[in-house]
Amino acid sequence: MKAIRYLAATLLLALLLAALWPGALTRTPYDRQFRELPNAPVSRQFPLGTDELGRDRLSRLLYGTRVSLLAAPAAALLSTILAALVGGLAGFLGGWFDRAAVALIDLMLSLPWLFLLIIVRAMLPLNVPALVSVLLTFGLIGLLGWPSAARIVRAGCRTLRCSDLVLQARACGLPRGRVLLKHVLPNVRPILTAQFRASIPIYILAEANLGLLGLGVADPLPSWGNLLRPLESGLAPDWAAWAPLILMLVVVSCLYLTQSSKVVVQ
Amino acid sequence: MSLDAAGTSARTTRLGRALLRIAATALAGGLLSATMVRFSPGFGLDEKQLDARLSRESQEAVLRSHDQERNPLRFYAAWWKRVFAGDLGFSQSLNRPIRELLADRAPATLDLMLWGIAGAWVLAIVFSVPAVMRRLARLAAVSSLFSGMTASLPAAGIAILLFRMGISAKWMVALVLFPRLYQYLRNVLQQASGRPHVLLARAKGLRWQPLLWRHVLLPARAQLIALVAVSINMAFGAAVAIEAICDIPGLGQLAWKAAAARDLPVLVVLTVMIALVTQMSNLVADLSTPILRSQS
Amino acid sequence: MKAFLAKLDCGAGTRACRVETRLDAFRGLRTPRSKVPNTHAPRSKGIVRPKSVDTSVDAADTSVRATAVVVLALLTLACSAVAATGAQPGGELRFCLYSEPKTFNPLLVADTSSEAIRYMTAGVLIRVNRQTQELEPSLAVSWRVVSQGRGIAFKLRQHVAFSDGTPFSAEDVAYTMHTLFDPSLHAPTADSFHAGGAAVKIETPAADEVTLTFPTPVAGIERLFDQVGILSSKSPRKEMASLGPFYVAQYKPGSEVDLSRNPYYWKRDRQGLRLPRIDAVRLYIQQNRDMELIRFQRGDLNIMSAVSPELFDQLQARMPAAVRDLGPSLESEMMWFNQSPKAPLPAYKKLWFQSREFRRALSAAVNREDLCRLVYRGHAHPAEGPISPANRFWFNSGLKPHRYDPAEALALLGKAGFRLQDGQLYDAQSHAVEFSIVTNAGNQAREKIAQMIQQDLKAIGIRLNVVKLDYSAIIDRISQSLDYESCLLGLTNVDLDPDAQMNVWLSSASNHQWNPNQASPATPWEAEIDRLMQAQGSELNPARRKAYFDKVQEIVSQEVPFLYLVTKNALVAVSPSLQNADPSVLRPQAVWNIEMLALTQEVAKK
Repeated sequence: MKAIRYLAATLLLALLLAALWPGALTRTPYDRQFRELPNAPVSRQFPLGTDELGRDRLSRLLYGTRVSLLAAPAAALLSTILAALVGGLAGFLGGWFDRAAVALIDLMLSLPWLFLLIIVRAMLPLNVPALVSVLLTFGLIGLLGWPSAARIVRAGCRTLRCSDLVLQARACGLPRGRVLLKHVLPNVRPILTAQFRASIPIYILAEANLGLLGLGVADPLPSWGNLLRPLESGLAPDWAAWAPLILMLVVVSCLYLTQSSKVVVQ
Repeated sequence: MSLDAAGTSARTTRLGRALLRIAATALAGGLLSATMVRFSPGFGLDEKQLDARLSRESQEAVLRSHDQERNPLRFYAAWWKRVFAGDLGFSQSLNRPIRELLADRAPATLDLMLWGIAGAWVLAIVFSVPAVMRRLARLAAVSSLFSGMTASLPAAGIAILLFRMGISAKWMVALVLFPRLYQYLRNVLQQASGRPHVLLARAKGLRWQPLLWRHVLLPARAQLIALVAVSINMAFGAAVAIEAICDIPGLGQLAWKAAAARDLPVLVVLTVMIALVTQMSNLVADLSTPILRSQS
Repeated sequence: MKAFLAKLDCGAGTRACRVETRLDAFRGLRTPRSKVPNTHAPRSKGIVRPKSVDTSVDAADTSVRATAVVVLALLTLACSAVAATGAQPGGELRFCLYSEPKTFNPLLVADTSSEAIRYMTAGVLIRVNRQTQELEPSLAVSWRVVSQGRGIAFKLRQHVAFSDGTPFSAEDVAYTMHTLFDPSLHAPTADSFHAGGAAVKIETPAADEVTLTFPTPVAGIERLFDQVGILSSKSPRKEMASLGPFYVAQYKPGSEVDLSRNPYYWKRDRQGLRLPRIDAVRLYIQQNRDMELIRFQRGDLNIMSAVSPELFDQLQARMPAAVRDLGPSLESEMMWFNQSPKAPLPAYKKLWFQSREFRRALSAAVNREDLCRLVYRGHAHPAEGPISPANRFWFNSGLKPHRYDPAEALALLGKAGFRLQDGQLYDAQSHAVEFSIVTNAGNQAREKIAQMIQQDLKAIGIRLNVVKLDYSAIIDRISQSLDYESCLLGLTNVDLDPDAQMNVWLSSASNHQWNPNQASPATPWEAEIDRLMQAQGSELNPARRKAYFDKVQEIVSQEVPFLYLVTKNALVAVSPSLQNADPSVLRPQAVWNIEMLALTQEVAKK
């Protein structure tokens, strides 16, 4: 199992490097339309062929990987910070704040966000460059993703609050803020790290799902979501068109494999 | 005797309080979604707005038809009043009473959920029980890998793959559910089978089959019930999403259409329903097991 | 001659996604909730009306599912219990509707699915022949326009009955017209007459005569009656009693609409046999076009309308005899700029959009040929103006095609004070030219068009941001808040006469998309269009009306308020088992002559 984990990590690192410096593998811009060569087969010039508009699939795949692999951790960071704030304070402070936080978490968890997202998208500004749309999409995902993590953080904090070490610290007269920063936070850090790592693959998938619904990262910037879209239609695409799905499968599997199974459960 | 009675009454109070909380959450969820829909761009408009045949008067009539929904608080209060009278409201975008829409569409969703839950449980049992009980490290690794793989596909990706293989949507729900269920189930089993008396029995050479029922599954029944509750919740979420994506005429597709058409009454009904299902299944999980409760 | 219908459509519908699956996997398990009882027409005429068998489709699907069943056989239990042989009842025509019909009342029809059902079930006084585009007598044997175009007098067909046997008379026509022109109805069909709130006089001088008199002349009045389905004033079945070749026998929401042969249908064929020839029509409600294709290939469906170019090519490779490219349809794609002074946009951007040179330059910068070739796989033509060549009478063949010419685009922009610097275009006040285009999420063709325009404009230094929104949000932006810069949508001309485009061309109208609801025309050319449209509306002579509208088309071509991009071809697929099929570019394409259609012996016997 350990060997598999190392292998997965190496593969992930290689993919990350390739996504960070796509120029090393392809010189074609991801948005250049070779209109005389639509749906071109695999060739030296286009190692994965071209799409319906004549764009180089390899280049789009690499840049799309970059978008998904960089933005998802950022969104995960955002939601983890939110979860730590809400969950941590709720668990540690208790009382009305805890009750309010739990109510908020429950409320967030029980809303049909998949459907409300199209409404949220309609409220966002129009004239944004593609790059900003990436930030908006993943920002939104991050903003909506914190409640389930917050539940777990809260549970952890609550256990800690009654623990000997915190009781002792408070008995010694340490102010609350200091107890929280010095004693509680370091102890919930493993939970937070686990949450952060577990959210990354989930957010990658969330963007892909949104992309399949036509929302998400704006054209012509590729992301895994909009790269998967051609697969929807009934045309039997050649194997190269499946590359995004395969790559995505590999990357997310690797992400899961590099984590211990406990993290996945949480 | 008296202790028991006190315990029961304490439990009743707890249950009552939990139910109250659920009702409050559903109530607030409905209001929140009503408010969001009300203030979203496109509310109160209709495709008819772009029909060039319509005269100005007719266009205005279309706009006026949503007047009752413009104040979300007032709409929400009026809506609840009607709900207690047995009327869920009327969907303007689909031109039918919501009660009829739900009755038409719920069976498809239920069907999808039932098959999905059954499939996921069977898969999870097939993969986890032998791996844990017989301690087959290789099977465990393969199971983990498979569950990781299925977890790593987006629901829509699974939909595409299965459709191309000609497989029904029910299996999509099962595959979406399976990885999470598998992980939970394996942990529950591992915990139960790691108890000293089970280990002792194994060490004395007892076969795993008789142990499974009496010493592993039965003591873990509370967790298993919780798991069933959680899987209902997950299945509902998955079914609703897959329907929306795959065009199955169930509640998920209804929600999608309603969101696209800004159909306020339908979205409120669905939000309240989803909130209730989510919260109820969480409650069952909370009540039946202290382990899962620690997470709430 | 009147009745054009311009309707902005959202193409693939408001749904954002079309990932495929097995919709029908659940059909057999659901309780049919029919609003319409099955026992509709009397069965005395000896006509066999096959009852629908719910599971027949599932049965066929099951065969494909078999692979899954093998792999997971242990787990499926009895899920495939419906497996049967896939037999079809005799003489049943099957095809798909792509959305849920919103109404069965012929007078309230506003959506495509209800329109198709109305065509097959409702009787009308005058029919527009979808192939010749000429008027034909239907329930009215003759008619004449009276009172200088303000009225029309019909002579009705006699010995006609509704599908439940109730006899048809002038009273029913009068009742229909009273219902239609009720000011509280607000139906598009009624509004096409531009009668306003004023009363329409309806008289029945004899049992087979009806005269309608409108307050003002109605241009092209006869053609409008093609959309008016006649209701029965006496039938207990109300609007469900039909005079058309079929009647609605059963409706299973979300799944299908079943039509049965109207035993009292008045039309006979040359041999004197009662029409229609087909016993029943089953309409599956299915949005997923890929599923539709699979079922068509299996023989489950007889017809596919408005096929997408991708599926058309795929089908052509496998069933070359089944597919037909009928040439230009009435559907086109277009984009426009927001020129409204009320729009919440920076003043300099409004100046760009209000500049004729800017609009013409952008029109010249878009490569329409490439759009046709790449997005539509050659099944489309560059569009010249608001009227498609499919509309034989109203098309202006004198319009010059919009040539793709980036050099000319830059020259025009230079004339308007723009300059290209380091690959970026700046206006006279040195603002970089960048704007957004909104289009509806989920329509892949439109998304591709937007991406191609994006690259075309990049070549002349313009940055275009493509924004995909859901349809409701777009309607809000283009009709209420006016908070958008440019928009890409489709235009569907359901009807032929440009008079129904009145609300598009009049500067005071709400559907005057580029600058709606103007108090007075903002530009001289809009004032001229207003004048010409009013003139054609009050003119009765078709040739003179055509001359007026030709001029409108020329102005539009010069001023480019709309950039017409492509006219899509009408693509249909008709199974070889269907006889007498003669698909037309006008809706309902392959079933416009449904009463004449017949299934070959083998299929009918099955």
